[in-house]
Amino acid sequence: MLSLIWMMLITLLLASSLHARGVYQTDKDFLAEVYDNSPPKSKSIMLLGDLRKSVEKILGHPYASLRIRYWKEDGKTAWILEEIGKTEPITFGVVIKDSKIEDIRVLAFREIRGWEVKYPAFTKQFIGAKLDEMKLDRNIDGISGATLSVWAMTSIAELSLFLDEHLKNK
Amino acid sequence: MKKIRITKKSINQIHKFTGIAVCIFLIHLSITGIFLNHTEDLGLDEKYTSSPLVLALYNISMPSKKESFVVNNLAVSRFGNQIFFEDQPILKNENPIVGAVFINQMYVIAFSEEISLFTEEGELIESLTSASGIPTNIEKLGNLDDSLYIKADNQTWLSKDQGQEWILSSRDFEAWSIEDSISEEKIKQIKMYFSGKGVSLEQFLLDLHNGNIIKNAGKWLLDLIAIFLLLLSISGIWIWLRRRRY
Repeated sequence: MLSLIWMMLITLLLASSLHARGVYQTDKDFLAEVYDNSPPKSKSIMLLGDLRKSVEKILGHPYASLRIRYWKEDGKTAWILEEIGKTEPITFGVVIKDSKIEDIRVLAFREIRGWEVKYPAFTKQFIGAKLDEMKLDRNIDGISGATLSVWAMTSIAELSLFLDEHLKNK
Repeated sequence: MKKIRITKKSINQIHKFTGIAVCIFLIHLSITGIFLNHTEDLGLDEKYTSSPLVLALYNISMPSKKESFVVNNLAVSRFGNQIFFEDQPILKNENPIVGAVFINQMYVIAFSEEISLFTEEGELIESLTSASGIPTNIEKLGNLDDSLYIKADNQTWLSKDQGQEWILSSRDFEAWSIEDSISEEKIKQIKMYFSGKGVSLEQFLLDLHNGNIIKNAGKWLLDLIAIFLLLLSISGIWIWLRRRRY
């Protein structure tokens, strides 16, 4: 009987970690939610020259691609960005308004650990955050066992705020 | 309670059993030890094995080839969820490659739900998804002149601006890119990405010698052999003392 209970517990644990991997929200659904079902046409920004160097400085390594796509309307800019957690890329959706983070969420998670960053209880720390000398203007409390995912989300929050500023100064 | 009696017969049996077990282990230890004493003479530190069995012992997995295309004389392939450009890893994607083409100094790889654009050097320019306006359920990719074509949900779509905008095409387009095999030499080079050169024979023999090859179980096995050696020694002394007495 005891062994049966152990087996059930192990199965439940395995099932919960597998369930944590996957697409939580598609890019399309995220944009539909941000822009009340009528997202604007996407625009793109090329990471070249000094911009590329600044992005590299924020992330600690070059961004995965040379071109980044964004959506802008009603004073809101939406970004869909990727950053490696431990070994796999995590897809984040970020909304910026008035140079502050209005929303940040995990759209797709491919790692085995660290998926706890998807919870609003964690992401609410980023709401209203601004950029202060290429860093967030506040400390983000970590999650035990999800340190790399927390770092990835923090980097993406800084990157999206920086890119938003770059668009304003262009 | 049953009393345990130590008899001459039981001590002899312990001595015999532990002797055989220790003997087998000593043969293993001696053979691997001799090889390890002469690793440089035999060049074992420069020889590598990629045997699947040995790699499995080291938890090195080798994903199989899924799809491959030859574009502009260069191989585009997927092993597991890793996409390769020749033998260089360029992207991770768990979806199958449905087509690959070279257009306007740019490589384009299509998956069922996205299209990825690469520079001639294999650097990712961008991955386009349905959020960027590309059709979903992509089945095929092709190109003609400066235009890209995709077949999705049995409809043909056309883009004249490197995948930025797609319009439905009424053209009966047939020049789709098709899967092509890549050479065994190329597959071997790609597999090096996952396994490196393999495991050096010196390392393999050393791990066989010290029991590390079976991880923690090796530690417990060595403990067991040490206990057998103790039992062998004690039972040997006991038998020798008994013989002296008579």
